[in-house]
Amino acid sequence: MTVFRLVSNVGASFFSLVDMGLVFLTHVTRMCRLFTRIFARFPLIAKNISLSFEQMYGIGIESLPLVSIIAIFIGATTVTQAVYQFSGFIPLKYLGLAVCKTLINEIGPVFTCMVVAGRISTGIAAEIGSMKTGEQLDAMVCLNLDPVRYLYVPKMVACMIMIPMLVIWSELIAFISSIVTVLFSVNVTLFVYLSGLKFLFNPADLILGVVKTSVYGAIIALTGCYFGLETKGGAEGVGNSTTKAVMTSFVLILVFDFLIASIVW
Amino acid sequence: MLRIEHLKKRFGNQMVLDDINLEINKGEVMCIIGQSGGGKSVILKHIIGLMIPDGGRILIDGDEISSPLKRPSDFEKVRTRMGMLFQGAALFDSKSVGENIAFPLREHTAFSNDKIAEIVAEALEMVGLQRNFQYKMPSELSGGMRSRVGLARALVMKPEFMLYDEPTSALDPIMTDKINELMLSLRDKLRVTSIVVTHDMASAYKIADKIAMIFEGKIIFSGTPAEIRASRNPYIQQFIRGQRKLHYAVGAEAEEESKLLKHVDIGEVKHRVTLDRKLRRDKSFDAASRDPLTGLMGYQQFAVVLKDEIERSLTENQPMALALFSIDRLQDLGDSFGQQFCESVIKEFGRKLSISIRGSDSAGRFSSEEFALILVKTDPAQLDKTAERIRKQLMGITIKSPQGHDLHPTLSCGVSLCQDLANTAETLIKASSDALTKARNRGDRVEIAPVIAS
Repeated sequence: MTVFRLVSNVGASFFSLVDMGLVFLTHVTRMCRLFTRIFARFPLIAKNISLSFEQMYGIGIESLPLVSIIAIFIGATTVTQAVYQFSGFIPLKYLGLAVCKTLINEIGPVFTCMVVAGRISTGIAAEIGSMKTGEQLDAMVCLNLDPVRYLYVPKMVACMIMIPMLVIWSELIAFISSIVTVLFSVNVTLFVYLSGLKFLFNPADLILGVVKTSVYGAIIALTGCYFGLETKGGAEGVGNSTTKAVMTSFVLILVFDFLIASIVW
Repeated sequence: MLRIEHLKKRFGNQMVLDDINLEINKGEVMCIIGQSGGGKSVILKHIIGLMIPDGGRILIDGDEISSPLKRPSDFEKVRTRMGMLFQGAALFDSKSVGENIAFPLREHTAFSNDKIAEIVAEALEMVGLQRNFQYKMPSELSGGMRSRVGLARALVMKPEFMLYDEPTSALDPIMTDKINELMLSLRDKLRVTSIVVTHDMASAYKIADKIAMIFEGKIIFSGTPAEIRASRNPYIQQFIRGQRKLHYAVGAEAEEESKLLKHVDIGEVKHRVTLDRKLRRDKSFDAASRDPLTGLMGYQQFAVVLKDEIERSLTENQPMALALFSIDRLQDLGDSFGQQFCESVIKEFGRKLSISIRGSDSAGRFSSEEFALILVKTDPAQLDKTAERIRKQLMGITIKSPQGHDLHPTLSCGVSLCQDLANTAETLIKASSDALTKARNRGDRVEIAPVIAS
């Protein structure tokens, strides 16, 4: 009897795993299909460029205060952690080198994107989810206005352009913050620290670090749009969509970060 | 003309639309009524292409606009001829009132900004709002104002067809009346064909040229407001009178006669009102004499109605038929599962009969296992097919036996046609009864009685 129950439990678990796998594949397929639909309408951007500018303002300019605050602490924390890790083993003249590589390659782009994803993908999912539950998307279709063209494309374009800009801004602030931290709390001269920053500096790292955030921008917009469209029900449905959007965007950013790092470096 | 033919839609296991047939003429206002979640809005969404049907098709002036083979992109052309007002108006929250109305104009026309501003102002005035409303945001508007802005947005593209999805459901009576007046003025001024989904009967009576009622995915009634009031279908009466329990009630009130005359054939209305008064006078037409189990008319009430319908059929020269249905082997079912089970079978058939018939038809319970149905305006050539269709429809019920098995009881049917002066209620009942006996002997079939000629 116990063996029978064990086999039955294992069977049930197996099938529920298969079920979850199928649900996951369905989401992936639908997301890819939505991305294709958005991408296919990119050539029409110029006809409604004002919509993209509006989104750029909302996504880019309005995120500046948040990104600036985060960047200040990223810079300061990176320096503090590096000093702690170096103590007794590595000379502090390499502090600038470590901070530079960390900020440009990983912490700057990924951390900034994840913070921005928390704000933007949830915002997009909530906006589109509310429009769906309030029948505004249906109203657009009835007026022969393609929601993909008028809603999703401007958001995608704005994310792909503005998130790299935000990352550049964030890295700039983080560097300034790291310099200030070094000046006030680390026993290293400014000259030594700046020399470390310039030592082994590769402009390609900076360019790639910024360019890859364009991919993360597309991920943020896509997850927001996709889970907004998947919204069912009222306020609770919108809440679920925003949670799913932010979780998925975090996971996808890290997955693509790994893939890009594996391919490029 | 907009015609819906055999429209079907299924969501998962639930059949939401099951063979919907409707016809809406140009310049007409058609109200679709029915319970919430009954599929009314789904019909509108099929017309405007927000949904693709699983079966059937929709035609405008003979051109097919919707069928299972169509793709969403195929609807772009037809949508230019349509406008839709959603339940909450569905205004774009991020845009001002003016931008909401101007949005379709900016994207689909080459008008200058000045021209668009002029059209927006005119549209606002048409729906009774001042020009300066265009600078307000949707969040600053009341429900009625939002509905009017939604209407203005739908009208700027000058649609031939307007679809309204419960336009007055969240409005106070004064605002409801304003919206109704607006819909009527659109019909009169612009000859816009309107399809209105509502469960507000007062609005439906006021604006509708025709009313269609949907129940369990089917259109169980389609006719004028006067006809729906005079309908003998207990479910329709329950719905239009807002009663909790099924109740057989007579049709139009006498004082409403003058209103009804505007919409329908005067002869028809007079006949209905006379019939209703006659029924009301008749002592036998009383709630106590209704069949308590099924809520249908009892034998005596039915006989009165039958006489009137025969009289009407002969004077109007419109053939009618009397169909008697009998539940096969009800006695055996009683022996096997008990009397209570038999009653539940009879009750279920009675319920199915009351919701399956047309509004103009009348149904009653004749004896313990027999039901009677008057089919008015019947095509004699199609009588056997009609009777068989109804019989099959009624047999589509599943009843659980006390042991939990699914049972599908069958019916036998005897039908007789009335198209001659030789017909009386008695001869018609006898002819149908003989045909039923013949059908019952063989079981599970329809028998047509020979025509009684003078």
